[in-house]
Amino acid sequence: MAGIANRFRTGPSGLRAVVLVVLGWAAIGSGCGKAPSVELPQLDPPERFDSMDEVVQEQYVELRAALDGAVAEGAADAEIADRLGQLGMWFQIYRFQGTASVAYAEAVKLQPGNPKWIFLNGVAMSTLGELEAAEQAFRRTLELDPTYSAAEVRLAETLIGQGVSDPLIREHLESALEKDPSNVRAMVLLADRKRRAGEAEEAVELLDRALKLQESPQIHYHLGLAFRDAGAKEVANAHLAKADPESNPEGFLMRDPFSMEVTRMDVGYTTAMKRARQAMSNRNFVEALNQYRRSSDSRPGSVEARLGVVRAMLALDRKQQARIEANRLATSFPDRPKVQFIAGRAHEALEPGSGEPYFLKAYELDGNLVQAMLKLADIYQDQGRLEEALKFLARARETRPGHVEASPRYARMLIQMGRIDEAKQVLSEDVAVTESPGPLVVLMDELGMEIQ
Amino acid sequence: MRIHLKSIPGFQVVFLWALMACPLLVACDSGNPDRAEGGAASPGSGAGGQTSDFIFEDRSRDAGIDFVHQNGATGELLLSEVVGSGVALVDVDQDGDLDVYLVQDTEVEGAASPSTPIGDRLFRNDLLRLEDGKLVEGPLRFVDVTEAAGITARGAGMGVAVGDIDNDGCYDLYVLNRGPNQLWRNRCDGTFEDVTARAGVGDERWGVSASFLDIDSDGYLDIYVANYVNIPEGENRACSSPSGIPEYCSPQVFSPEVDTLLRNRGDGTFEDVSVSSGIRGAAQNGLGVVTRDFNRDGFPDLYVANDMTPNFLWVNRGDGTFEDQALLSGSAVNRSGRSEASMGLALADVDWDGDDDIFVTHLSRESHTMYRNRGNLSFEDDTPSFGLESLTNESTGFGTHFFDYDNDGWLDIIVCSGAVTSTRKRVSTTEEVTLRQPNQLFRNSGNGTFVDVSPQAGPGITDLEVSRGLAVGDIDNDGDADVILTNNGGPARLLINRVGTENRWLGIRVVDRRLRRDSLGARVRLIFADGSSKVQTVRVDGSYASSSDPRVLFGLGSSTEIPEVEVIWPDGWTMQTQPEVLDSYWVVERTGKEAPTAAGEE
Repeated sequence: MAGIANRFRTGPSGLRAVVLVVLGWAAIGSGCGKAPSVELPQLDPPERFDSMDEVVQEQYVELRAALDGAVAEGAADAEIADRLGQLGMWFQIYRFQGTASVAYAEAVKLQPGNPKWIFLNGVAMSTLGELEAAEQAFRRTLELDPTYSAAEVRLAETLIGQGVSDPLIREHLESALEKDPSNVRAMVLLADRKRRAGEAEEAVELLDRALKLQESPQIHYHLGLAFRDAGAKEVANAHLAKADPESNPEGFLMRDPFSMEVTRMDVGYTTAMKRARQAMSNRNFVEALNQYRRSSDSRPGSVEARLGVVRAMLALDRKQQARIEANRLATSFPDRPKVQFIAGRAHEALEPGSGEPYFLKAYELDGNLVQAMLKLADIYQDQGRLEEALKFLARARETRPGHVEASPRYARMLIQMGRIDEAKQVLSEDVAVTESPGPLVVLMDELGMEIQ
Repeated sequence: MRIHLKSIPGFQVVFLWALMACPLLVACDSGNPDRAEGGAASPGSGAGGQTSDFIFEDRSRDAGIDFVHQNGATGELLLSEVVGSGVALVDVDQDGDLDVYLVQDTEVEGAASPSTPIGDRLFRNDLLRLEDGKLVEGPLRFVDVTEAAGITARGAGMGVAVGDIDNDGCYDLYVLNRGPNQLWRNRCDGTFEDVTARAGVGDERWGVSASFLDIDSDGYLDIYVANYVNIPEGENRACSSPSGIPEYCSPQVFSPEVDTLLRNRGDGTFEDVSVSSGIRGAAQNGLGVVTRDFNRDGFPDLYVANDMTPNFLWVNRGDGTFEDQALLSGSAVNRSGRSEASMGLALADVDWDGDDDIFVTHLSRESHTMYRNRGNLSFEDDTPSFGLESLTNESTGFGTHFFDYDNDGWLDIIVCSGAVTSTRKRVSTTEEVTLRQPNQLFRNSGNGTFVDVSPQAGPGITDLEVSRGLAVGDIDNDGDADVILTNNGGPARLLINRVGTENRWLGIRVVDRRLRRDSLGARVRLIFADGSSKVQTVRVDGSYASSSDPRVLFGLGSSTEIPEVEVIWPDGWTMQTQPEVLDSYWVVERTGKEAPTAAGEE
């Protein structure tokens, strides 16, 4: 891969250049048939990424340190560049475009002939409003691959953003359509230029074509405006009724493979996670498992997705698989209480009592994790270690007064241990604060307490 | 200051403020040579007496504007903390200079601290005052007259709108609250009375901005209220970042709120016509509102900025009902077809093609949007061609206004900014979490593009603050537009223009004597010898939760040509004349006794 990149530095030309570019991309895309040998920590994106997140910063620092270490150890440029580029993509997903751009720029330094990082850097720069830099990036991408229509469309958009007027914009868009007649984004932008220039009917024609290729609320919106300008108000309104201004245009018309690679991580992940949770709440565990796996594929580092996989496996009684996956997670993320907790559950499912160290670890990491306390109480109760069980139930109740499970269990255990007065005290206190008084009322009734 | 009281033969041009306030006055011209000595427009007379080359000078402190907004931020990160508040520039005492009304959120902790007077505050401008029956000009100085005026606006204040509800010639105040709004009727004697209950205008929704407009042409100003979100009791809460870090919620976490339209019955009471007018047909997160007769049918329409939902363009059908044509007009969403977090609004004819364009402020990364008016209720998002996309991509804008700060003949844009989430921009940065951002001033190059001149604008623009409300007007009456802006959780800034008077100018106030008030919606056209023209509309609304100077101010550059002035009144009737001199304010009056025009209206 580094060799291919070096050849681009010498300035390939003509058909040979195109072939080399394609070969180079193919090689990059496949990772030259092998995974990078540099061992780097996995990034773990949070589910939402619309705000600054300390977790991201920690991961960034960790990964940068690992990258620096890899460089020091003499890892190949291409491998480092590849990981830097991936880092950029992660940050692009998080919408930290500036940081993404820095990562891409570093990748480009190592692999100046790889159009992928140049192109994505252009996308990041244009999002940042640094349009001149973006323009340069897209022009450079086109130098490396004159056939990449997406870069030409992005270039046109960048020029539009800089206030450049027709005919230059149109030339780029028409050129992009020549390269890729199915480029919907180019069609919509070109139609917009035509409509603005008073060529509403031609705009309608283009947008009709685009709509046939891709049903999209945004195309309906543009079609509505085109019909309006063409004087067909009723048809315009019909299309505008199908426009959804609150839908995300970034997921629409995004035909360029590199950006799609980035957005797939985003859209694929969030959609799949949503579906997975829905399936879990509907008790459709097979579907949930599939969706959690899809989420995990979209974001290989996502702990949430992998935790979901374990939960779904446990729900499906696939205990062995669940434990294997949970063990991997627990090893990778020893400091995450939720991970330790789920590992405890997976172990416990296979062999009662074996979850204890994981639950203890989870409790140690998060002293307010009520579920871990309850699980520990379960284990100790089963083992006849009642005082220890009682201790964790008391702690759970203290952490979440009136907790639907902790309060009645604590009271019942006190009753079982003959500590009736204490039980009554707990019941009378907790019934006033709990959102689910039912179990407490039953116990109060059993003890002959007056229920107000 | 040059204020001419002379009438032009055949045309009613008088200095009406002076006539209304001190009828014995004959002249108020002031090419006052002493003005520089502590006078309003003297450069370098600001706090500390320092001179500077900046466009604006922050005169808050030495002029007596000591208002500090309380946002009640206690770390809970409630959405309500980051929304307020507004400011009005309004001549409440009819003495010819703009007074200042500042909105306070008095429900928050600290709003009633000993160092901060409770509630909204009214500052009287003592630039012009009567002495022995003569209008005397002094230094720019404001006096807090809240108590004397009888104003006890102690709600959870968000914004303020001004309009004369009873046509008595005195501006009344409508205060928007997170809770019942308040209507303060100006008694025309320096005091106000709370007529909210009697008028029936105490809308309890979360109002932010309002506009006064005469929807049915009955001569009385009605009120449109842009309401924000509906947060049920006890559900005002913070949201979290992905890793659980508390963060301000997006409005989309809550239900959007319906807007309110109140029709003035003309007897001191209002009728809620929100349902019958059709505006209740849609609920969005309203933050800004401005009125304009977009289709020139004689009935004022409304444009509403909605936060993260499509904007409204309510077209007044003239029969008491409205139809939202925003989407069809191309002004609901940006050029990608996506709704944006619209907050502040400015309307003016930025390209001098005869109709008003719309500028809307948004969240960072959305860029603000300029909708070019193509006529016939058709707009085009031309933000990039104006050069505004990259200039506005990094800030979250609220109050905004078109005004010609340098009087070069082209309308510029001011935007005040401040984030709404504590998001940091870069992973690699370690600065404190903050909402503070610089404000921005964009100069219209005259070639269809804007350039960022913020660095030359001065600390009031470039300092990092959380700015929200913004009003523009000639506070020191020297012929250039000044600015007052509010800062969420910070001090209000009074920014006096130091450069506009280097060019020629012409100021016009348009008054309908029959209604005894400014003719909101009237259009003033300057017609030049070469056939070119420039139009501005009389308005006080727009921006964000704020109200501005009703006078229209035209910059003329270095031209010495005195243009012809044409006034197109809201009902379409027109009158023309030519002022005698430049660099003056003129009042154009309509009495109803004018000779019939070709249109034959009168």
